[in-house]
Amino acid sequence: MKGLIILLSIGMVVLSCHKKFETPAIDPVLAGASISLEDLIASYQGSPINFNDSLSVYATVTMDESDGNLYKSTYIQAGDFALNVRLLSAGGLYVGDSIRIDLKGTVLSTYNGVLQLDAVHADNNIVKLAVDKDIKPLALSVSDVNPNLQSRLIKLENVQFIYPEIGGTYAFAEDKESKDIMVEDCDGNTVWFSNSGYANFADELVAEGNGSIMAIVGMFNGDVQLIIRSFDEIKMDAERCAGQYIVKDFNDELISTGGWHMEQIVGSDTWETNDQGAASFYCQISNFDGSNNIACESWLVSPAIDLSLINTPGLSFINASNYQGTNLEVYISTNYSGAGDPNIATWATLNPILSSGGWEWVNSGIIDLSAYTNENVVIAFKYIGSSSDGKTWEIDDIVISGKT
Amino acid sequence: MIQFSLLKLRFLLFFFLANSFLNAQEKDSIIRKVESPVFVSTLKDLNNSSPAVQAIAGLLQSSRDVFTNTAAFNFGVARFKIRGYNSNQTTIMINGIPMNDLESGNGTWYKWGGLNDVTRYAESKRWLGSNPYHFGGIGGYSNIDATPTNIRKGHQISYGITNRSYRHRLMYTFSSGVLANKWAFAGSVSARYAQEGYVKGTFYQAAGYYFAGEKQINEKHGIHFSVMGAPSYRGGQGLAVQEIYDLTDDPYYNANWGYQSLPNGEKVKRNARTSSSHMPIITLSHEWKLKNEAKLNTSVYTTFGKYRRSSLNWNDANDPRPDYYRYLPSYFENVNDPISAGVYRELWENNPAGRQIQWDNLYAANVKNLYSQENVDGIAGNTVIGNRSKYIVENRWNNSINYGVNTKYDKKITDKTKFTVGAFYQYQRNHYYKTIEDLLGGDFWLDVDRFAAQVGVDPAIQQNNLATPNHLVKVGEKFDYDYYVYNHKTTAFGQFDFMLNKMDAYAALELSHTNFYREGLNQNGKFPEDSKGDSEKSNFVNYAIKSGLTYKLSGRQFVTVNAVVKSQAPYSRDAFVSPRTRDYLVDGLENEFIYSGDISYLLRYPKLKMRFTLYHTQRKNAVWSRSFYNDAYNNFVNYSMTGVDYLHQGIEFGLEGNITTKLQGNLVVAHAQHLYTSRPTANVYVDNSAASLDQDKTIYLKNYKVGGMPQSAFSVGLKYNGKKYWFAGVNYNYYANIYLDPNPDRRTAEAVENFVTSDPQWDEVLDQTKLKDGYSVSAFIGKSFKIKDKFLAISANLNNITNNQSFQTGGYEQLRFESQSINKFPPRLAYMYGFNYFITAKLRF
Repeated sequence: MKGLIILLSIGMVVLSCHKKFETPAIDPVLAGASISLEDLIASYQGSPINFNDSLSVYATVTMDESDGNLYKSTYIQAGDFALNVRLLSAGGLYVGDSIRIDLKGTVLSTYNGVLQLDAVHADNNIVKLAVDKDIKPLALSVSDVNPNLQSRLIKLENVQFIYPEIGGTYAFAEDKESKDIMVEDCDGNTVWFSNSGYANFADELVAEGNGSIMAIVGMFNGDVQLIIRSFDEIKMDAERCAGQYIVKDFNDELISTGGWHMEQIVGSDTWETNDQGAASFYCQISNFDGSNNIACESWLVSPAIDLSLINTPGLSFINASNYQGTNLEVYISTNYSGAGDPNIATWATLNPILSSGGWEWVNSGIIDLSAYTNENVVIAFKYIGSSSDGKTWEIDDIVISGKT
Repeated sequence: MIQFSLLKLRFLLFFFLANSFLNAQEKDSIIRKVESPVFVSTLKDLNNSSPAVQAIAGLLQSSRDVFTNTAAFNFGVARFKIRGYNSNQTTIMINGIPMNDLESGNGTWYKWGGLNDVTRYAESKRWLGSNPYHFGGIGGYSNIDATPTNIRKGHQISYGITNRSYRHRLMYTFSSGVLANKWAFAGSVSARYAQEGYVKGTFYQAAGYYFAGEKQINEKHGIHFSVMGAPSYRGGQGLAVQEIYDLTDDPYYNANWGYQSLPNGEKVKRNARTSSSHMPIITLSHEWKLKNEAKLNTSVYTTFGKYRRSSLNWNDANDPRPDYYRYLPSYFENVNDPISAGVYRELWENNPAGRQIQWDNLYAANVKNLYSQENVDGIAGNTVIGNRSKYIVENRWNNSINYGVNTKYDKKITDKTKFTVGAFYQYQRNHYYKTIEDLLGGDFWLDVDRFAAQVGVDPAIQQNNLATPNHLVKVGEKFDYDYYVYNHKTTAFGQFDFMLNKMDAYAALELSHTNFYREGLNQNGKFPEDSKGDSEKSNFVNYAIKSGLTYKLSGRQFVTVNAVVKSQAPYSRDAFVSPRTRDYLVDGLENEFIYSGDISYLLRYPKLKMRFTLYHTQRKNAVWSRSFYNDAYNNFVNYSMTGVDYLHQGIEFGLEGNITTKLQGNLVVAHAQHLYTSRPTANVYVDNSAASLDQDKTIYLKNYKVGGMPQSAFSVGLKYNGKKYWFAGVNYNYYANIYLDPNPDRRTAEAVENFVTSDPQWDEVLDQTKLKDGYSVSAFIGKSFKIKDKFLAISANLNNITNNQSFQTGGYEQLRFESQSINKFPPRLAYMYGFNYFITAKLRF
């Protein structure tokens, strides 16, 4: 029995020596000189900079990945200077984190026109100094948004998603596809937002009212694409102003979507989509086959538009042209049947500002359609070319909007 | 010698039969109604029984079956399974009380590990047959007699030294024998220890204790009780892919450990995958001798305790496990990044510390990850700021409470007939939850499912427990999931045994009822209606019938035939699609049907013992469930198949004979086909989403081999018993037809939909991996000394004497795969240990 007791005690001693590990002494890995975010950004001269030595930059996180609208990416800001930070692993930084980044091992470069600090390892490069140090957004009007604000946190007031977006979702959650949607103010100014299909709000319906939204000024090859920071910061529940009613931007590379169609009266040259020389797709037509002009009459016709829904409706589009020939003609009708030869309907001529040539894009200006309030109308773009001459016409961003 | 030749002829005949049996793909109706009786249940009964009964007992005293012994001792290293069965086909008992885990049916040897002096002489019969305790499984039964009088009177102390998973073993056992007051007591303790086992980074600390008492109160009544337990704490080994074994030139590379710096600068090995368990068993039994040779045995038991396994967990960070596929050179080669591939190749080949877990880095990341959490525990304005751990060590608990009662009535009707009836009630509650083992320097862990963030804008979706949203978890606290699984099982069986002059026979029937359900303790934000409280209760009624006979060609030659038909309730372990988050049951949960039969020819001569058996088993409509982590979903994917059919058929041959009086030869052959024989239906779910990834997917699994074991093996050996109590033996063992178990998802139309049959990918995706045949050479040597009335025995077991380190004994195909590049997620493989030994000295006094 003595043996039993001895061995029992041995057993218990063996089992009781579960070691608890202590926190090891941790080297203060992040040290070295510091540089301001302003100077860091200014140091970029067009080619990537690899940082091989420790150099610290201080900033505050202005956007994180919580809503899924970014992946392995955050934005930081210090004063008026902001930068996109690309992380080697997802997560770990949150809005309001005041951080020091050790630049060792990172790369300053551009990607699709956005200046970014790349290859940042959250464990090795970043120390959090404080939390909840939220930076106040820059309050802006839509017309003031410009590429110089790259990566800044902004807030737009009294804005709304344009009418055609209502009823749709922010992005495509099912297929994880992103979606571009347009926001406008009540003066007809617009700006694009780009939303990730991975965002947790991708499947939510676009806000219907008018109000404020917070965003990071993202860029894609020179074009501004705002990034929604958080679903909770879309506060649009006031009554809408009139805004844009119909938008045809050809970015889906199709003529016929949204109820638009063509009527070919003479010749075989038709309206086509193209993106040559532009950031996005537009619609163009030409009667030149490479050696000769061919007689042509081709109409690009809108769907029937109920202007009774819109206060002080107006039409605008942008256009560019080149070569010699007849100018583009723009019409409105209240009795076009919706299909067939437009020439049998009654059309009134509209007077947009047209490009004088040299591929120069001009804005048509807002063409007042108030005379047609309470009517169902159809808008048409008529191209004419002869066998001896003919311009090339390009049009894009056809918008029917309201005024306040 | 003439007689021997005749025997040889008979072997040849049986080999021929066996081969034609195996080659005949047609499964001729197998249910042959016959069998073989055992009137003797324990060694103790054996001593009391009549000589006539003893002769038959000798025939079936399975512990001396050379096939079974060889399968256990020599084939174990190659993961051989008798008849291809998992442990849930064999009924494991202590004092006649079934001990299989109700949740999975599996054996629970870990509950008494290290108590070898008590459990070594278990009565086990690993084939079909009469069973004096229970209906039993198709894989037979094993009963540990834990009564004091079953243990040799006196004291016994032994010390073992080895280089396997542990290094040292100390055991002490005593038995009082029957004392004057009619009590008998026995006890045993053991300790096993390794600071580091055979595999780097593993460790082993285990103890075992046993105490039992027994009293013959009077002629009619006897009682006995036993208490045993085996606390253990171990550091685990993980399997790796071949690329890692090649890079490290180490077939035992273990990704589970890394160096951690102590405050004094010393670096120590730390294992992230530790486990501990302690589940004591207490039994109390009453034996009542009734009139007219009838006996009533009644037992109550309980077993309860804790089991935990630790693991790294991480959030807002990359996978910290060194063997993650994105840290391998091949990953970078596949994405055309030879520079990174080179950096990682250098690390893997030449930096033994760098290719393990970087504990210090995990601490460094945690201690500077300041984080602010609002509305902690759902309390508005309750903001807590602190270092949020990105990396933790978590414990995954599976604690269980079991209790039960069983009673068994035996009656000898005549000298030649006997019947047994028994009833069992068993209860088991498993409690699954997680706690924090170590925050690795951080202040808290945020208990939310970040991966659910993409599911929608409702913040509740991320919450693991809606009662305490945004809970900050500290060391030792529960988090993530918390639920019970209850099992109730009631079983009744009856068996009738009879003996004729030339024939013994038996027949048995079993009826059982199984009930199980889940009770969630947390309301999960993703499944608020289906996570808390009781699930639907599943009920299954099952039957089993078996019968068999032994035909006595002579007193030394026997033919036995057995057959069983039974239905089997699905196990609760397989029944829930994702019990961690919700209580959904697998679609189409139904009973499994099992048909099994065997026919054996046995010889029992004093100098020649032989058993040759053909068996055939079909399992129909089984359930197959697995969970695996898929970082494409950042979560556990749950794969459930129903309608899985299995075929197990083959031969078992064991021969043991004296060549000279001192030299004995033995030969064991197992040759089998273990196949999947149906096209099951699969449903696939992710833990954190209600949507199923796949619904009613057809799995083309027919004729794939059941993997993870050699389907064929043989062993040939010699054993020498020298003068003056010394003995030695050697065996050559060969293992063949080893396959990796097929990943069902690779055997689908979807997996090959982009290919035509002539594409190389077609075969790459569909083919089953067959491992190379392997061998091992094992030996043992020992000598006993008698010193006055004391007895000293020294022995050594030597395994893999040729130090064969190239034998892949098994592994598994990863459930995750990419059909375009099947090698992106290659199988994980295990190698047989190199030369290893176990040397013991035992003193009896």
